[in-house]
Amino acid sequence: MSSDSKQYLIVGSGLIGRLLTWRLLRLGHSVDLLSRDDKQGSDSAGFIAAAMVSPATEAISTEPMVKEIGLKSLALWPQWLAELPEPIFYQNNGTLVVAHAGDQAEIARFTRRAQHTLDNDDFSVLDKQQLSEKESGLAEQFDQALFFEQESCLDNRHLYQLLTDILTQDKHCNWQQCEDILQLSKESITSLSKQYFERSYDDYDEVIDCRGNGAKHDLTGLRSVRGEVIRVHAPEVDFKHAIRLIHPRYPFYLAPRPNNEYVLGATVIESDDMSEVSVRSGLELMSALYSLHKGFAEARVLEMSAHCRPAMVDNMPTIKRTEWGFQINGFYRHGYLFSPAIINDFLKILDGNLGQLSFGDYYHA
Amino acid sequence: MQASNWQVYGTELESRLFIGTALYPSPQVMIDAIKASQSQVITVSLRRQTSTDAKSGKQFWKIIQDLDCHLLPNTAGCYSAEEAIKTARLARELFDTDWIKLEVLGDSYNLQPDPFALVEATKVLIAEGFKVFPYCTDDLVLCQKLADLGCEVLMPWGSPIGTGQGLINPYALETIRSRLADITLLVDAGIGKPSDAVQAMELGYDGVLLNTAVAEALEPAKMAGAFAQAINAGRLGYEAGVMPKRDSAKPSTPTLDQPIWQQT
Repeated sequence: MSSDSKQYLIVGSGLIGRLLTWRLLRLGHSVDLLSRDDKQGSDSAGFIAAAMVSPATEAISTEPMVKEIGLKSLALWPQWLAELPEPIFYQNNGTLVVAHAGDQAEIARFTRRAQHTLDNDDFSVLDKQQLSEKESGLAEQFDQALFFEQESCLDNRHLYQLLTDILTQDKHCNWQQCEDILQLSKESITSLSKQYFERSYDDYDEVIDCRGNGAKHDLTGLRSVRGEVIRVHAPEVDFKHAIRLIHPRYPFYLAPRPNNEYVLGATVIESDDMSEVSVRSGLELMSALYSLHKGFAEARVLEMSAHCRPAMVDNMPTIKRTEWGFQINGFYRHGYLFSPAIINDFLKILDGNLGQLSFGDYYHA
Repeated sequence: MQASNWQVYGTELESRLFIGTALYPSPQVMIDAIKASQSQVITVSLRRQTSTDAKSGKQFWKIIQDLDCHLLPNTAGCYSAEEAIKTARLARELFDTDWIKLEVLGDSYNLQPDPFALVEATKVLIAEGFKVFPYCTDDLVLCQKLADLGCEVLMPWGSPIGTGQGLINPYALETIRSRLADITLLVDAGIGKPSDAVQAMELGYDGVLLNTAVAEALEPAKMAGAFAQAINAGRLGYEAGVMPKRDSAKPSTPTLDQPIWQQT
């Protein structure tokens, strides 16, 4: 190893924790990874997520900066995925946005916001014929669609599994599961690192907190926003695009997976309720599926799950310097949309290249 | 110039705008919009999907508390008197107020209030000491019944929730105003643009409640400021006394050389 190889402690093994650990290992550093969650990552918002990388359609319902960060990630994902030991499903065909006949006013609103937030060439309007050429299965139900070309989605479960394999096999990574960590301080880090890694606080070049919701006691203003998804296997449906169904009450998003599997998500609820999917949400999700394509009627429900996304008051990610290390948090529903771009910036922060940051205005480093 | 202060259920207020807390892109956008609106009363929902465990939204709740406004909890999404009553009781406990915006929906498509269930629920809640702000249609007889039950405030709709259609029946709203002179009236729902709010205030309504018109604007804080000005302007206009309409033109500059008996 090179002489400038460093020793890091990362707390939290969700999407950000494991991606960051992986990137640091690739740069030749060593990482002690401490996490409450199991190694599969099942108690992580990123494990449940639909894993869409949708800079434009997310910017429309949030703010223009979301597109900028998202486009950076959209460029990075194929490069990062290419560095994995096996190919993972990455669908880079764009997103189709549709609404049922009764909800045309919602499409008009969405289009108006799109025109306000985006550039003209970020999207196009498809008539029934064009929609039929792009996604024939959708043209049966819908007469028109908006098409956002620069959007993708990926198989997050496969990504989690590969990263678990890499991290557990790399001799420069020591990954330990621990009890719930309520608060981090120099003292608590010293005792934790002694207990799990036989090190002390001073042995680390940096401590990085990636606990997401678990960092609530250490990060003022951090809140949780509940989301619910259904995973199905639908042999009769063969969508090639991510799809958003605009609806007055819930915006739905459908992300394809390999082998005719689909993840449909919705619901943004201001709550840290981690309990199972409610019957009401289940009904909404399933009727949304059926309304997109009749072939979902015979789909098999693989899973219904709920989780909470960690969010700051502006729903934008944050990097903060504390007296004991760094906190990276607040990825809201934008884990896959933001993580490569923000982690790339964070690696520059660790290197001291503060002048090269892309989104430094969001950090409190 | 500021329009006169007013009262709802004994609480004195300056602002005549009640504003909702739903649909904003982020809490920060909501905070900025509510501050720009200068509103002193904000409506909050129990978020039905998690109402069994209402404390779970406590971080959002902290953001709401920090706004330092009067809270008007609502029974949004309830479709029966029973459900609305239950939600109101839960809201009183959670938000520590006896104010309740009573909303009982009768139609899931246009979210029209169910007048019969509304009267039923109002009766029960008033008996339990609630200060009821009923969201109702613009039917005079319904409004009279609600007033007879002891509502000091009534909130007829301008048009269905979230449609932004403005006041689709100004005649009905005007009738309610003139017939229920002692009741505090707000137009709730349907307001789309600032001029809709001006119109409501010029009719003599005491205030306006809105949410979507601000939350779904391209720039919510700017729109909230626009509504604050519009509502003040409309109220000032009402207080100042709008001149009556006449059929023939009247020059605003008197012409001395023209005899008053001259016909054109």
